[in-house]
Amino acid sequence: MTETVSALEGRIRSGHFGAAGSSGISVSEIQSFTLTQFTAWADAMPQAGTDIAHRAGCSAPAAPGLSTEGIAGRLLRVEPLRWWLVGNEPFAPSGDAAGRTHTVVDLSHSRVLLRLSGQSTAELLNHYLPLDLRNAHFQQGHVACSAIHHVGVTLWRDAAGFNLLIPRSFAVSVWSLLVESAKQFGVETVPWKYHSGP
Amino acid sequence: MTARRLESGGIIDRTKPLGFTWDGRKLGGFAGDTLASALLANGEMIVGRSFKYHRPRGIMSAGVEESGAIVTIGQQARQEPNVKATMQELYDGLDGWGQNAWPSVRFDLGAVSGLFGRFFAAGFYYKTFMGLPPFEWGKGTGLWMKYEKLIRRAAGMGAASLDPDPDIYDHAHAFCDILVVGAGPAGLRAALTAAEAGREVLLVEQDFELGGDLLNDPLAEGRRREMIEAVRRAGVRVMTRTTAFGLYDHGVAGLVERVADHPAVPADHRPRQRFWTVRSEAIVLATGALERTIAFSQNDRPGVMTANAARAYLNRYGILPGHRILVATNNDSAYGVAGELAAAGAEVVLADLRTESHPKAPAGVALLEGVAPLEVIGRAAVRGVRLARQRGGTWYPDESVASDLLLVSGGWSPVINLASHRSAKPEWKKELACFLSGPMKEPIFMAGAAAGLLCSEACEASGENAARHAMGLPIADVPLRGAEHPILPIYEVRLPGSRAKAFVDPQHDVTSDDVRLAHQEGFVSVEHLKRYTTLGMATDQGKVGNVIGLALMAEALGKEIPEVGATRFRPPYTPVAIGALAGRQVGIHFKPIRRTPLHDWNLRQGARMIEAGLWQRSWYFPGDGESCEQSAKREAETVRRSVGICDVSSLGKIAVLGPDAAEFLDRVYCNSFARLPVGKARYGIMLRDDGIVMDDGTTWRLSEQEFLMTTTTINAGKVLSWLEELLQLRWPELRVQISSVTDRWAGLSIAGPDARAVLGECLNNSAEIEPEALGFLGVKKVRLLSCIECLLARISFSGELGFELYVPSGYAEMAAQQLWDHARKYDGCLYGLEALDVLRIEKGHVTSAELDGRMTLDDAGLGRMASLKKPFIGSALRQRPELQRADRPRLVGIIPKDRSQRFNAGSILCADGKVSGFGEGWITSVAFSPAQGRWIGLGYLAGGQTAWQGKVLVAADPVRGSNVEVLAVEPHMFDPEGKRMHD
Amino acid sequence: MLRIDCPFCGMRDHSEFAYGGDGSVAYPALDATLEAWHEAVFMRENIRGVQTETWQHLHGCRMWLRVERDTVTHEIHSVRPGHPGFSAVLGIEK
Repeated sequence: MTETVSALEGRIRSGHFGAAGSSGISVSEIQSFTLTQFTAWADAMPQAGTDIAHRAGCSAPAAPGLSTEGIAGRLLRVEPLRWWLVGNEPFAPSGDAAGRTHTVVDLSHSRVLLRLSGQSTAELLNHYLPLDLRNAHFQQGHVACSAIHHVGVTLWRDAAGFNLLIPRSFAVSVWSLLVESAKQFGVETVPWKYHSGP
Repeated sequence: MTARRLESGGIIDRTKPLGFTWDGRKLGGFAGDTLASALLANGEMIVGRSFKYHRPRGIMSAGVEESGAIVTIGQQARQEPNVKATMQELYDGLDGWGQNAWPSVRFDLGAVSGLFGRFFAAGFYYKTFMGLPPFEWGKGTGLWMKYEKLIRRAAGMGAASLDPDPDIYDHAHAFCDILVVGAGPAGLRAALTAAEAGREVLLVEQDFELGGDLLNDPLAEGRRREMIEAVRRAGVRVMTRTTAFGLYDHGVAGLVERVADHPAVPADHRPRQRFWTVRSEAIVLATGALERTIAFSQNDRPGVMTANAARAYLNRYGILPGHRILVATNNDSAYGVAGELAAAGAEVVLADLRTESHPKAPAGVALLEGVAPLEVIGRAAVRGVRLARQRGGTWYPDESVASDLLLVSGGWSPVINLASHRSAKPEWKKELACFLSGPMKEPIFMAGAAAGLLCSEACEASGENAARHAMGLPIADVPLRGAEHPILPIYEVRLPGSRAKAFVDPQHDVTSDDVRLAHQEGFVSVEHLKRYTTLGMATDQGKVGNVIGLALMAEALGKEIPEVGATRFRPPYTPVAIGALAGRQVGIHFKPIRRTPLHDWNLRQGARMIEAGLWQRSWYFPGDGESCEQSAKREAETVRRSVGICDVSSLGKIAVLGPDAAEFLDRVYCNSFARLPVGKARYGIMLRDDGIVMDDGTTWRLSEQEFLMTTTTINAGKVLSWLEELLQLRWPELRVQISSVTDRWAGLSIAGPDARAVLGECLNNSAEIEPEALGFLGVKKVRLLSCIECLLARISFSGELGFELYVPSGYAEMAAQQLWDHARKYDGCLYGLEALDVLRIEKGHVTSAELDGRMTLDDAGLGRMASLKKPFIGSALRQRPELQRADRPRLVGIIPKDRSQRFNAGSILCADGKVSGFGEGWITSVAFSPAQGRWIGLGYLAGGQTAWQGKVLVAADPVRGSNVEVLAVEPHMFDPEGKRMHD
Repeated sequence: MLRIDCPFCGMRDHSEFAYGGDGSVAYPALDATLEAWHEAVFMRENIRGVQTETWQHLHGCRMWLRVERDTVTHEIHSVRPGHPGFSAVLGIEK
């Protein structure tokens, strides 16, 4: 199988950057994930939600602002009628593009996925994101779509930290901004990691 | 004034000496000093020169309202002018100097302009340089041009560095339940109350120490430490060195945090400042109050300061600011400092304007009743003060008191600026002689001195109440109580007929006579007063002078202060550096940069890049020593001769799905899509509601209910939002879903007579692109040799046999490399945007240069595309009579009359011999055509090509200074029948 | 800066939204007369007080919204999804 080339290929040097001492932030790129978009027909709800959850291997479709972990990956509710499955299979689920209760669009390759962790992560993200990321307000499983420097991004939180989907074409620009600001906290960068299962 | 540092006292740290430079001389201070306190401790009297008159100025306050000690800090790129020394934290190595003076603030040659002071009165510039309205409007303009430079050099503030700012600035966002502004007794107590009730509280303080006025009270130090400790224990998030400079809609506050303004150079990777946007449920404003002065002759002399400033210098910084001190007051607040100064060893005389009701003189202080300062004696320093006494509304001179320091307390102005940002009207409280904030609909609550309370116990109680208000809890009543003995308001002391200079706004050198002049000349509204005199327009924004100015205008008008009104305060409360507003959006991050999946690959092949909107696109691929023009010519020739490969990934791509997808496209595009067969692509044009062309591109039918729409690079985002608007707001009944797949696919254009051969060698099954299998405008899914599934359409922008191959972005480099490896065998090339432009201009294809948001289908020569069988967006309004006129601009091709001549895009097309005005049209695009061996262009011409058949036009380019004779031709200048792409 | 309470995303900053236009206009059918389209596209009230506007939550859930906003105070009185199907779905789940 042909290896994909990440938008950040050759742009990530692994190591510690910025303020000396302990790292407030660790950033890594997650590679080899698939991204599948499911969109329900409004009049087919709630059956459409059930069908989508089934395809993602989840017990129920994620509610607004939330995500659920399923067998096929993490299912994010990104729009009123739209879910994104961040999958750990090499290929996105196939099926009819335009189905009875919902449609499917393969968005793999369209986003770069970063994982950010460490005690200063929320503070760093809040240098750009106008979101309330306080622990009580943005908990594990929470999802939000917003913008970093005018670029639409999707953020969710899980046990590993914050996960950020960035449109591929903007990835280098957003990456360099994030890393430059992260230097004040001390930042550890890791070139890439495979997307691991749930 | 002979200030000196005391052996003990204050909260400076005498074990941490700091060295700094002032006007090139090495001086010392201590940790905890401001630059102002350190200068004072070193006996520096004159620290600045005034704006217009170059009068010597000393330290006038101990806070943000400072109008005298305005200095420049730092060297070269880090040179920062107009810093208030009273707010600048002292650090080791600080390098500061006095500004607006040459050669130095102590001996300033510019001070002679003070001798011509009357020429600089309010309105001087208008009258001298603008002529006497209405008869001489503009006559003075020439004079102004002549003298402007001289005047600007003489009058003004410090100079900014011309070097780029070497420091970084951050933006940051924060959220809290309750934002408390100001950490004096009221703010600390408010924060504590809310935090103890379980709220998330953000407490911001502009100072580098918490405590507000508690810092100036030697008896309150214990209480201050206790409260700070309690606030920290309660989990309040505390930000010092942070100014809440503005309040905005919906609970939003703007803050500037001076992260690293107190070392000379920020530590590695730290920003100098951070600009915060804070959202809160409720806001408590415990912003304190500022002491006012009084206008009297020479009230700006070094050695005149507010009473409370002296209190800060004595109690916080351990400095005895003078030895023979006159304290002039009209209220109780100065009694404390008078006693403290006496206790510290100074000889203190207290002059209270009040005779009937006032506190007892503190121990060791001589009290004079019923007198006020009339004039300061001394030029560069205070040598004494002449007093005056009022009888029957007129002032009479009284005794003189020898002194080296004059402290003035003319009353207090609560800081209601932030409330004013939210449109709260200032309300005049006569008994306190100050403005308080009027009622607010928003959850913003005033506390402490900002609410008119002047003792720290009352401030604490009101802080608690404000916090309870903010949490929606019931409150105990705190009586609005000023001092024990009422203030006797006074704004100016002057003898009848006196022409002495009494400053109202010392920072802008506005005197009481200027205010009266404004009144005399009819500028009586406060807004006019402000603009005519510039009162309140300096960097302190009227913190010192506004109330005095209003009072003087009220007196001139024979009105009360509330009838005159007050100007509204606007953000920022104190100046904000532009760098903080820009944050990291500077240099390469001025805007986000978009890179195609082939960006790095293109660069490795030697591409030169060009901006297209946010995108970086490959522009041309120069061979040895080739210029852009030479390279583009070679690339275009190669495409026409063999084959070229171009990265077209930046085109917008939108997936359109659902049973009504075809119907939707039929409504959106001017041409028909309903009967587009599966496996076919069609060029479509969409209009706006108003009948003007919005965008164009090809749309591919992948299955019955599945389309892939492409848009222009520039309009991709706009088109997506527009389609979403139509589906969500206008036609919710349509079962269509759309989503952007722009980033999902890399686009590669393979064009030229050998395109099929090159592409075939890269596919699993080359038979599927044979002409029978994939005709012109055919679409299908294909697999590369590596089995990667791609989308392929046989479309052409260049006019040659062409394919667009869409590859999943992560495989783009692999696909491009394969194609390129094979193309090389055919002597092919990589081509960029410049060659693409050549090819499409030869073909007369339009881009955003032609479809510029003003043109109709007919203008662009595309009117025949509009379906007559169905209505579509824009079909009604494109029929507007004005858009149907025969003399509308129409798309034409342009060739030079003399084929060796060159002309420029942007030229105006004029009739021969009539090169003037807007001409008859304009040129949108120009390229050298290898196919024609001459420069060609596209443009718009009134009436189109037929109206100008055989007539010579002039392509006038007045900016670059060329007039070239040209002819209008059909826009399709190469292979008009399109044989080459259909083969 | 305005903050808009998106029915899907919750309270969000102005910077995530894009202003659309007059939310009170009922656009005519595509085959309506030139006059009807002229009225819908060009004729606008300049309201002092509460007006209905359309906004898109561009950098969020991409929903088109109808927002009632006071042009004097910037107070926002209501925010509704433009598409009835979205309202229904969000109603079910709330």
